[in-house]
Amino acid sequence: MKKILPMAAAILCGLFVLTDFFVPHPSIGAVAAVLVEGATILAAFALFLGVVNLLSVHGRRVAREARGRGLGVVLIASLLATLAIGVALPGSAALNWVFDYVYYPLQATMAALLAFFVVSAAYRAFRVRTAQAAIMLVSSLLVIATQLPFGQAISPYLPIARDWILTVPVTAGMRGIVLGTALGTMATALRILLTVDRPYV
Amino acid sequence: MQPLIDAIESLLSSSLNITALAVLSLFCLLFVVFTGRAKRGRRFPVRAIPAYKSIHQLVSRSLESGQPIHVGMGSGRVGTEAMSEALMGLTVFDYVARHAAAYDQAVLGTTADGTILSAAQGVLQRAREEAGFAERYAGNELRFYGPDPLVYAAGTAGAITRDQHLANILVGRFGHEGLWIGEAAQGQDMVQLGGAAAPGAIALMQATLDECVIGEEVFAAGAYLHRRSHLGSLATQDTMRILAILAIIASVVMASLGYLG
Repeated sequence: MKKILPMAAAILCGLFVLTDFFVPHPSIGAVAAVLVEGATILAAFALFLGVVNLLSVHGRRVAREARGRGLGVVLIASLLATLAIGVALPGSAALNWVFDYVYYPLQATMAALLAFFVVSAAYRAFRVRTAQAAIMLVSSLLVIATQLPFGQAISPYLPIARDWILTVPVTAGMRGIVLGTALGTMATALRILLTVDRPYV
Repeated sequence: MQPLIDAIESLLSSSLNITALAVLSLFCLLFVVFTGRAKRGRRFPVRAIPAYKSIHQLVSRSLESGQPIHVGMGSGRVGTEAMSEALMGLTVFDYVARHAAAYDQAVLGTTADGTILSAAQGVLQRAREEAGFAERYAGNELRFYGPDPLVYAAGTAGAITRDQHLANILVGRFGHEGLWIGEAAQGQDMVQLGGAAAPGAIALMQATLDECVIGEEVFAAGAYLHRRSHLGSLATQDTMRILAILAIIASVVMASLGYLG
């Protein structure tokens, strides 16, 4: 019973939402909307579990480990302070201050580092002496060169070559990947719907 | 009776609906046939995917060396279009966790979604129980750093570089955070592999990881690692892909001859 009930619930919920996609009937739509809303509420509750996990992992580190104790204290204090402000003063200037002057600048800093990471990763990828790496390097250089203001001055054929690369091989490759991903997603969904996979049990 | 008639009429009113239903029905039929064969022990020929072969080897090496493996399950969430990728991350974590649990070894799993976190906790707990080490289950082997991809990247990069890990496996929904984690771990003596299905993320992951699975290969994780029944769905995917290719070629020929508007 412990396994059968979740499986039956998963099959029923899945079938209802799938039927709603094909048959836009108000009564089926109403039930499907309740199920989807239920999933959203469950996901929100799971976020609470995540916060408990975060506090547990870092609380343990603060209590037992000397290394990284300070960072753990900062993390827990920041989390509790933001939570307290959010609960006590929702939508207040104080809460906006936390996001505007702490969270967003930190996020922007991390995003800015991505540029350097892209360069170092590309350097390593191009350094590998294979035919694939050579094709990738030539294509990348061509596309980069034609994006520059003087790209067309080098040769009038460069923009044509760039357009061909972007619209023919790149688009074809991307469509192939998207098609394969769609089939993979269908297979994963069916595995759950037909209880071949039961990650919830 | 009238609501049923209305429902059938609304279904038949859209040619797109009928096409989608026909494709889904064919997919279901093939899926049931192939999965049944796979469960009865029928072998399906599969091409070698180096990343999955490496995961087999890394798990064995981890048991010998005692160094844990990190499995990053990404920022895919249950209830979104990224759910199937997140579940593949969970499948890889299941494989690594079962082997680690059998030899009472540590493992580290990270995710940016609370629902995947609780599912992974269930997977790890069950693996420890089945191995007879239920009391060794510790919640800190699975970590959640926040739903924001960059926050997840910062937390995960810190966790895998702080302790000596044998490998960093990233399978699930990854965007630029995959590059962030991969590059942050570059200085460590660590094998890095994984993959993503989103076209935008594939280039970044390909550049930073030692071995990468792309697109549909991500969804083959179970079949290549430890779930025989997944071979059936893999065969279904292959058959449907061949049919899609034939349909595209036929459409191009017919359009060239002026038979399609």
